[in-house]
Amino acid sequence: MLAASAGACAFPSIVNAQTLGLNGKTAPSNRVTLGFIGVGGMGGGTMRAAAGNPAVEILSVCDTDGQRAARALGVVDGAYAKRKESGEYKGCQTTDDFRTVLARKDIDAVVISLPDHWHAIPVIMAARAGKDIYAEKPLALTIPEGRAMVNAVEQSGVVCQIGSQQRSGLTFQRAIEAVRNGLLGKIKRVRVGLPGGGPNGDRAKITAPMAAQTPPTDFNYDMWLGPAPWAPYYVERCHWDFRWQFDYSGGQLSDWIGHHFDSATLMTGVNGTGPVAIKDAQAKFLTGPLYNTASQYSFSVHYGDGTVIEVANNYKGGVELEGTEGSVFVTRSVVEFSSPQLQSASTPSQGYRMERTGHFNNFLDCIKTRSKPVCPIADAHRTASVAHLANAAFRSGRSELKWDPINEVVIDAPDAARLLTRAYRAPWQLPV
Amino acid sequence: MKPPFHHLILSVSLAAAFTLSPCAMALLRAEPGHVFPPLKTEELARITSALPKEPRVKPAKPRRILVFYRTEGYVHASIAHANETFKQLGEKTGAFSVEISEDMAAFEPDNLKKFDAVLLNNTTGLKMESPAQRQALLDFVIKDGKGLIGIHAATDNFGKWPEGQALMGGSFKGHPWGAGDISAIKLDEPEHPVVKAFGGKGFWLREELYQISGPYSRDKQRVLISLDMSRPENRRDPAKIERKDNDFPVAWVKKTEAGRVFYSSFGHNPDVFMTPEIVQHFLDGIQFALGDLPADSIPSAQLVKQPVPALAPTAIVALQDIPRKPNADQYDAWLKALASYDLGGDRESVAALQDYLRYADAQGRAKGEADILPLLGAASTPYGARDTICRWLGLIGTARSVPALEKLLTEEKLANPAVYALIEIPGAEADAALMRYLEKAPDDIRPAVIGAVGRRRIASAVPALAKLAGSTKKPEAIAALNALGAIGSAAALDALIKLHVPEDDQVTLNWAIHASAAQLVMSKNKSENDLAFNQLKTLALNNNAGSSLRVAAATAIIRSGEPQALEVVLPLLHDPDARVAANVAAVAPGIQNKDVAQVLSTAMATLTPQVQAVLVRSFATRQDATAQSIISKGLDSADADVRGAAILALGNSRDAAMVDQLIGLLAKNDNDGKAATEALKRCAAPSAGEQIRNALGKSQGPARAALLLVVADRLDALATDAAVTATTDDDDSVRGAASAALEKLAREQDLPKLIELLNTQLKANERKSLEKALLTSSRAFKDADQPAEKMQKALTGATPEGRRILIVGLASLGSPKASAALASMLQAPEVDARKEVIRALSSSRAPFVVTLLLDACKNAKEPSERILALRGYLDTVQDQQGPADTKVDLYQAAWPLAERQEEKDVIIGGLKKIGNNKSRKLLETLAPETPKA
Repeated sequence: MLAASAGACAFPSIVNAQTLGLNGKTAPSNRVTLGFIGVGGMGGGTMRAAAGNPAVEILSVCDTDGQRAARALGVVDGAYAKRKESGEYKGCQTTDDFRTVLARKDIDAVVISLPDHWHAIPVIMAARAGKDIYAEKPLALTIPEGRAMVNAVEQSGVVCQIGSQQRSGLTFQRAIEAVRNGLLGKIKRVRVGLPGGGPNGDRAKITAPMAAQTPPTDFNYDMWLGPAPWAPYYVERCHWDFRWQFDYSGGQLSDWIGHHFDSATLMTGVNGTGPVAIKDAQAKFLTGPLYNTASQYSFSVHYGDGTVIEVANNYKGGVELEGTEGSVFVTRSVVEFSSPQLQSASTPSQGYRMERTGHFNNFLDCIKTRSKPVCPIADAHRTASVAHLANAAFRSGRSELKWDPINEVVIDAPDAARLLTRAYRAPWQLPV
Repeated sequence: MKPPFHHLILSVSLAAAFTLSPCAMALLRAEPGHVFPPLKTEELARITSALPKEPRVKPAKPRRILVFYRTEGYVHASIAHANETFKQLGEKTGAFSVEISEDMAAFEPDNLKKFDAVLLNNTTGLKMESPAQRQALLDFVIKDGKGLIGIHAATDNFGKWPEGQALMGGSFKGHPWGAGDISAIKLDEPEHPVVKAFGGKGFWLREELYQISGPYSRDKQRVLISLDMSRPENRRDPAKIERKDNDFPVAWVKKTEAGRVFYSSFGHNPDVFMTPEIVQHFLDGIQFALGDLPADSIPSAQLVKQPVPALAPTAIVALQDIPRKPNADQYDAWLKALASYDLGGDRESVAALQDYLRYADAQGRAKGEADILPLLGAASTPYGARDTICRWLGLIGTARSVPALEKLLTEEKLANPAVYALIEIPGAEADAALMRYLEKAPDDIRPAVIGAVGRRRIASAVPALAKLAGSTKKPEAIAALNALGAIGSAAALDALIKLHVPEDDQVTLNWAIHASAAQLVMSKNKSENDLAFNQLKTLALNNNAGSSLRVAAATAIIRSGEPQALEVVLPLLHDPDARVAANVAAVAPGIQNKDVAQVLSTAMATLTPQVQAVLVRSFATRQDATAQSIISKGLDSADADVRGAAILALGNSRDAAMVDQLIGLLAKNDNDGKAATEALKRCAAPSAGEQIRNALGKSQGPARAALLLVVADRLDALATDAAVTATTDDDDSVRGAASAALEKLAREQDLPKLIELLNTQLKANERKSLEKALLTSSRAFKDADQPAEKMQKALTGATPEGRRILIVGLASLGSPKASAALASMLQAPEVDARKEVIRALSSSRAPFVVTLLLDACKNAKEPSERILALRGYLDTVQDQQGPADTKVDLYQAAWPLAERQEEKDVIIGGLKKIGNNKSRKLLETLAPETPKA
């Protein structure tokens, strides 16, 4: 109930609630204190933006790559130079162990931007530590992990925003509102185009066998691997390019499911539930020495209410939705309706409405009001689950996979079910 | 994919070629003599496995084919695969033997005589300038009764030799269907021997496919395969399509005087040569060309009865992607590759075997399991292979694999991968193996084994796990606590309660108790249920347990639906830990107790404002009597934040009384009033619209202004009349709000009134709003000429400002009448009148005015007029949305009119900003960059 309408009816934060600090005290400066866990591609960007945001203060940066941690520290020190001089700011900690960040009582919230295999444990532990959480999509590496994360967040009442930032983007909001307010009539067809392929540049061309390398001394590779299976070190497998390996991720599909597909679930209103079947699934996998995720794929996602969302890497990148009264194509930069009337049409304020607030600011507002952010963890779980189900279908050689969205179990496909979980490398454990 | 400029490559001068980077040189593979990298083992294996066992017909005599692959244009990488395929195809089937060459001398008359057919394998740009060679080839195919076979780019030759092109039967005109596209293919003649390979069915193929034109005609040849244009997936941009008849042939046969020709445009992607149906199709075509396979070749158009084509199937699966069972040789080769595979090594064959195991039936998987198990056990197998096998057993492994996996549990590196498999293998055997190793596993591995036991929820493991939970080795103690929590049985909870752990493991123990109890509290068994409830209550009220755990315990109690939930929640709402109080308030709406309304609303006054506000917000989503009683307490609060939250929460209500309450709050000129306005905007109560309109009719002053903004945001068309009336209110704020409301609400019938208003004395904000309202109203007309007419009429007698607005209005309409009216105004005899129109047009930024402004610029009688029109034109182009190429055209049109340097700079700047191919090209001609030293 709560999740289904959260995006629509989260109240505007015109009410200035006070920051809830720990133990009943309001944080001295009224700033939300942050720890950044993972400051690479995504985390680094979020952190640089946060460093310029007067509503927050960064107290800790964590990365298994010492160079990245040092670079992040430089950004924070630069941003807070004046505060530091005045003695108002005590300095920023760097560490390669996220547990150090979670142990700090003076940190209100953490931003977790790690490879997918490192999503579940830190998010659950952060929720247990009472931290509010901004975490990157896709929610988790597996469906059971995602469910455990949803439970951990919802039962402990922490605020958790997942980084499907298109939910806060104007083009998608306009398209979603138009569809949800019935401007396009009854939905006839929904197509979601996601990228295919694998790594860019030279790494796309790796075909020859490669010898293993030695990790740099300031890179804690064992910690980077964490719960994932042991593997010899290759610089080409770490950081950004983690996403082309099933040990750590689910390829372009799981990377992008949290964007265009997620938006399509909001348009069709199926964001609060899971599908009843994946059909017409087919995929081709990368076959080079280092990467193994799907590089070409297509499938359709069927929901209990009759909604069907078609997904393929060779559709136009974005969401195309056709209704009985008109159609829309939307990407991050454009929203194109089929007629000038629709293009300039407004939607009524009492209808389905999304807040025009930046994604991170929405998180900060919700910390103050203890509300559900625009991308609640339960929705992110349903979205990511679709990628995991499609990947399980591909990897078990099925064109169709039936799913019980209430109990979250596959139907009549015991082998595919075996692809939906991962065991953790000792000593890592998924907390219960 | 073919670079589009490949035909130009030969004209690149040598001097230019020397300055190219090595990367660009790689593209310049335009001359013969290209060295192809050796085919990979896996590719060779796939080629071999795609070959048919024997030919459809035995050759009448030994046949020799010249396989010719010279490229004077683009070089297809697949040439190497094709050469290998044709060589092996001949050897294996005995249908022919090949000589592979790229030397033009092969066509010398004496040499050609040696062959029974010539096969052009992806030759490009062949000129064949020697008249003797040309004649020899014509004689060979036409007079001597020999064969000609063309594969893929074989239609991309003989540009200046029409007879040569005619001999092949068509010429290449681009490939609208790219190498990565999966296209629908139909069989024009499903029963024809040369397409029998496809089993009488159309199909889909991932392949670059050609548009064929030139000498091609169904009057001259028998078309056997073509694109299935009934499928929308095959449609392409009309700009790229030359043929108007929608006929895009792929394969044909034809007879010459004495010889035969077979062409197939398949053969761009290397995997086409690894696809059995296609290779069979090639063999049949070759045997037809050799004269061995009898097949009808009367041109298609001359057939008395046109055959019924076989269209592509509904499901879009490329022929290459249809899972196939490998033959024994290929399967063995895969296993062999797996046996020596290590991480980072060549994974092609390993991936192929994995792909097969994905699709294999139960029998195939069982054989797979049996075949890979010995490799898993062999110490000589590299780590990568054994790790990979463990992963695969996670998918296909059965009890049969358990002993081999169990053995690995003591091996340092392989124990974890073995657990990955054991955790997924169903059955008691895997349970037993894991149980045996709870103690036997090495210390480093034991946590993983414990985790697996927990994940499998092996109930009988509780005593062993309880023992391990007391271990002094932290990782296994933690793992055991987690596992007991995951099992969640009464026995597990009992074991957990009895445990004493070091202080820093207490948190893990508490969470494990919570996990167990949260499962058991749903149990129907009274004693289990009581035990669990009491454990959760203890945790929730334990000040030292940490805020999240306490909230989680409270959440579990709330979810259980226990009537005693309130007893736990109430003290927590008053907890000194603000996190606990606020977060419990956030989950509190889950409470189902009957007396929750009474208890919580009574408690409201004793809570901190923060907790009150959270409670109000969280209950607002319940929309029931309980929510209302809490919200009304919030409205009474002395704290502005709590009141604000409560007012917004009222907007969630569907109750008419609540709407009236909100309307009553509007008069308050403070945060309450603002919150009430916002709440009314969002209120979805069925009666809200009517109530708000009624209130608007009776209201005045600030409340009237607020209600006007509310009806505007609600897009309430029934309130438009009220807004029109309010435009003449005495109160400034009401007039401003009324104009603002009309921006959204104006309808067609309001246009005359709006025009009238625009000619009165207005404040700047009202004028701006009414200007927008005019546009809203004119857009509501179905026929844009109607408002245009009205606006044109109104121009006479309008104030100067009114005129400007009307011109902008006309410009935004863009209808024929509007356009004609504006054009004639631009012909006005007085320069100032013309300039007035130009200014107004410029400020409209309407896309349609560019033509008018350009004309105004061209026809300008004074320099100032020209400058003004050009500036307006360029500003409009700059702000224009739409295709970048159109924008480039618009800039180009302005160039001859740009007399001053600053005008030229604007055009150049605009083109640079677009930065696409077309703009770069134009820039090269308009402002050639001086070459860098």
